[in-house]
Amino acid sequence: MRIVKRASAVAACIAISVSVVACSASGSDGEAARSPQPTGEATAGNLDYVRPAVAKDTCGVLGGLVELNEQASTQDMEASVSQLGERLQLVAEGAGKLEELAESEEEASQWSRVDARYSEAADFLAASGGQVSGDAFVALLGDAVAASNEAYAGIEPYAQEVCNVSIEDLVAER
Amino acid sequence: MLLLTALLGGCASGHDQEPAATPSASSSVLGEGASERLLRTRAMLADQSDFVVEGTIDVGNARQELNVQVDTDTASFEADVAMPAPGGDRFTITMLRTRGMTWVKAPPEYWVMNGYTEAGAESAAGRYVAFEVAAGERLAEPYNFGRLISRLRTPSLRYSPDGSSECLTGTCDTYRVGRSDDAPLMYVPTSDECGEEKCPALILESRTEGISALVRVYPTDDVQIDYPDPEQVLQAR
Repeated sequence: MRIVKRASAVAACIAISVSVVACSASGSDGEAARSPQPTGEATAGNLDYVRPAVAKDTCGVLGGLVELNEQASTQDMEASVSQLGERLQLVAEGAGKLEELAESEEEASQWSRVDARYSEAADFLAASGGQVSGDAFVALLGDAVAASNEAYAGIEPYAQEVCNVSIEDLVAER
Repeated sequence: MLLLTALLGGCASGHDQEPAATPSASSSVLGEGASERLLRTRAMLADQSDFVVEGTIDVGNARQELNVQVDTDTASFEADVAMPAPGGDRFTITMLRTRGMTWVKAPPEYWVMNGYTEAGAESAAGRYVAFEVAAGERLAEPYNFGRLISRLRTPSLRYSPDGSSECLTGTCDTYRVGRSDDAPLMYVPTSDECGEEKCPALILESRTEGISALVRVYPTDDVQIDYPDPEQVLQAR
C-alpha cells in the first residue's frame, strides 16, 4: 500500500515512481536476428514469467533464461521496469540451479557469483522501493551483468552444441 | 526546503531542556598543550572511520535529540532522532542512509504530522520508507555528521583558535573550522576525565539555514550499516 500524501506539492517521499529506463536484467538489447525473437513492438504489460530454476537439467535452465529474456523484450517499458526485480530474482534462482548442476567447481563458483550478484541487486531494488535510478542500484546491476557475462561465456559452447540453445542474447554488450 | 523543514522539524513545542554540554566561551586564549591536542584530534579523525555522534539539533523551536552511528568509509549512518510530537509527547524515528539512499522508519504520528493520511501512515508503521534519491539526500543532510567529520579531515582546512570554553570535560580548546561565515565550531577537550560520563573526542557546533546542531563525537570500532531488509520496507502495491 502506498502512503498517500494530502499535499500534492510534496512528492518526494515513498519511492514508487519509475523515471529512468532500466537495463534488462539479462541484456535484451542484442540484435534481433541472433535468435528467435518475438516480432513487432513491445506491447505486453505485466507477465507471468517462466521460472528457469524449475528445469531439471542445465539445458532446461538455459532455455528458461532465454525464454525469460524473450518475455521481457515483449513488454512495454513501464511493465518491464515494474517487473525488473522479479526478473532479477528469477535469474538469481536460475543461476543457483545451474550452480547445483555444474560439473566443475569453477563453473559452480561462477554461477554462485551470478546468483549472489543478482540476488543482491534484487534485494536492493526491493529495499529502495523499486527505484531503478540510483547509482548504487546501477552499480549492483552492472556487477550482476558482469558476473553473468563471464558465466555465459563459459557455458556458451555447451549451450549451443549440447542444448541447441543460443544464449547470445543473454550476454550484454558483446 | 519546505519539505525538509517540515519533515525535520516536527512539532514546534519550544525548548524544554537546557542544551546538553553547551560549551561557553570563557577565555580568549587556548590553554597549554593546545597544539598537541589539536594534532592528536586531527590524527584521530584521519585514522578513524566509525563514530557515535550524540547531541541535539534545533530546528526552529523544536529540539531533537540524536544518537547517530556513523561509518565514514561508506558514507553511511543510522540515526535515532527523538522529536516533539503534537500534544507535548515525543517520539523517535530511525533514519538510515547508505549507498546514496535514505530510509525512515517512524511511528504513524510522524507521517501524519508531515501531511500523510492516517491510513497511509498506519501502513508504514514499523516499516522503513524509502525516499527518492534527491529528496532523501536533502532530508538526511542535517544528520549527516559523517560528511562534516570527513570535511574536518581536509588537510588544507583552516582551524582558527577561538579561545577556551567551559565544556563537558571542564575546559575545551575552541576552533572555528573553515573560513565561511557559518563555519562550525570544534571544541577539543583539554582533559580525558569526564567523571562518570564517557569523554567525547570532540564536540561540534554548527548553524546552517535555521538548523543548529551541538553534538559530541565518540570514536568507535563497531559500526555496521546496511540497507534494510526488503521485508521491512514499505512496498508499492
